[in-house]
Amino acid sequence: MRKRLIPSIFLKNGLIIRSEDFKIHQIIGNPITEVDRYNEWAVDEIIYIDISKDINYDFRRDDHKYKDIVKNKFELVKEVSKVCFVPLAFGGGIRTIEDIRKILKNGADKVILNTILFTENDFLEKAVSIFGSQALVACVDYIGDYVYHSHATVNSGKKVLDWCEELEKRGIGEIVLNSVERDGKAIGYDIQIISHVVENSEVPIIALGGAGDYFDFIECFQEANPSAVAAGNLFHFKELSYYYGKQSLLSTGINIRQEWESLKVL
Amino acid sequence: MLGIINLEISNLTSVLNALEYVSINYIVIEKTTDFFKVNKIILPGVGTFAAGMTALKEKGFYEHLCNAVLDEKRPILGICLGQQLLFSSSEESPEVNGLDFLKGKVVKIPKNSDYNIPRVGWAESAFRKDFFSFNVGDKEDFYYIHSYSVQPVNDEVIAVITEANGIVGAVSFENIYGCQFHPEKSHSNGLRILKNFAEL
Repeated sequence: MRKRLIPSIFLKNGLIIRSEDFKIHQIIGNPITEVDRYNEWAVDEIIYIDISKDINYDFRRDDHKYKDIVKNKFELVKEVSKVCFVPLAFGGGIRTIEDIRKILKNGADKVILNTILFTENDFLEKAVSIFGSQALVACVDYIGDYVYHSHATVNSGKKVLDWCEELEKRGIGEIVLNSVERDGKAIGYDIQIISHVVENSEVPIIALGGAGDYFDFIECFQEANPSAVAAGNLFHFKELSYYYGKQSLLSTGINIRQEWESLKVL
Repeated sequence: MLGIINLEISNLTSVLNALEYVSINYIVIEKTTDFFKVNKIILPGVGTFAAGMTALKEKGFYEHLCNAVLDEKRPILGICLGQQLLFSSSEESPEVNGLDFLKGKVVKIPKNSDYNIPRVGWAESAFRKDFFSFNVGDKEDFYYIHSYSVQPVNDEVIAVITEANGIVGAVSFENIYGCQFHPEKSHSNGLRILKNFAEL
C-alpha cells in the first residue's frame, strides 16, 4: 500500500484559514476553488476540517472575492465533491447520526469525528453499525499526553494511546493524530507519539500537525511509519509544494503514488 | 442507457458526480421497472454483504438483475461491495448467498505488514488482461478501502491484482465486470474505467 500525502484544509465560516496554535486564524482562500488546485496536483486524498463554532456560516462580508461561498458545511461538501475524484474526508461540528448521513450523501467518503465521541457514549458504535468503519475517522487532538476536545479547550482526561486503542476497539476506521502544540508551528511532526500509536494500532494512522518542510514528511514516514501524513499550511503557501513534497519522498525511497498529472480522462 | 442501482445502504453521490464529470447520461434504478430502461448496469455498494443482498431482494431487484445479466447478457460493473456481491458467498455474512454470477467467495483480508485493516489507500495494481482501455501488463494506482476481498474459483476472471499480496483489484468475465477499488475515487485512472464501461 502506498504511503499517502494528504493536504488538509481548515475552514471557518466557509473560508479556508491558516491555523496556528488552534487560535490564530487567517483567511487565505475559497474552499470550492481550492479543490481545482488539488485536482491539478493529483493529490492522494483531501481532508476538510471545519472549525466554525456555528452551524450556519455567518457572512457579513461584502467582499467580492468571497461571494460564491456556501451557507453551511453540507452545501460545501456538495460543491466540493462535484469535482473531487479522490477520497474526501470531512469533519468538524458533527453532532448527530443525521449529520453524518448528510455529509456522506452530499459526497464525502469519510466523516471525521472528535468532540461527539466524548459527549455521547455510544455514538461511535451507532455510527459504525449504520455507516461502517470505513466511513469513520477520528481526529485525536492532543496536548502532552492527553486528548482534548471542543476545539482543544477541554481536557478529556484520556491518554492518547489509551484513547486510540479504545477507538479502534469500538470500530473506528482511521485515526488522524493531531498535535495541537505543533499546529502551525512548522517544527516537524511529533515522532514519539506517532510511532507509539502506530506500533499499537491495527487501523491506519494519519499524522497531522507540525509539518514545515518536505523533510518533515520524510522524517515522519521513516521514523514513525504512519499510513499517511497530512499538512495544511505548507500546501497553501508554497506553489508546487505538493509535487515537490512527493518528489522528496520518492527520492528517499518511500513508497508513494506517482501520479503527477492533472485530472484527465482518456 | 446506463443505470446505477440504488440500494439505499450506500452513497451514490460519488459515482454520479464522476459520471457527470465525464459527461455520461444515466438513470438511477430506484424501482424494478427501471430495469427495462437500461442496457448497462453499475452496482455500487458500501456496507455489509448481508445488507447488500437483503436490499437487492427487498427492493425486488434480485430477479431483474439475474435476468439482465445472465439471460440478456447486459454488461454489469460492480464496485467494492457491489463486486463482492457478484460472487457466491462471503465470510462476512455466511448466512446469505451472493448473486453467484461469478464462482468464488469473499474472504477477510489476512493481516500483512504492507497494510492495516481496513485496507485503505492507493495500491499499485497490475493488469492481468485487457480491461476497458487498459492493457495487460499495465500497472496503475487505484484507491481501495475494504476489509474483505474476492477469491474467484477461476483465476482467469482476475483482471487486476496487487502483486505484492495477491489481493484482487478487478475481475471480468464476458459481460460481468467488478472493481474492488473505487474508480470514482481513483482520479484519472478510475474515471477512465467508468467512461469506458459506459461507452461499451
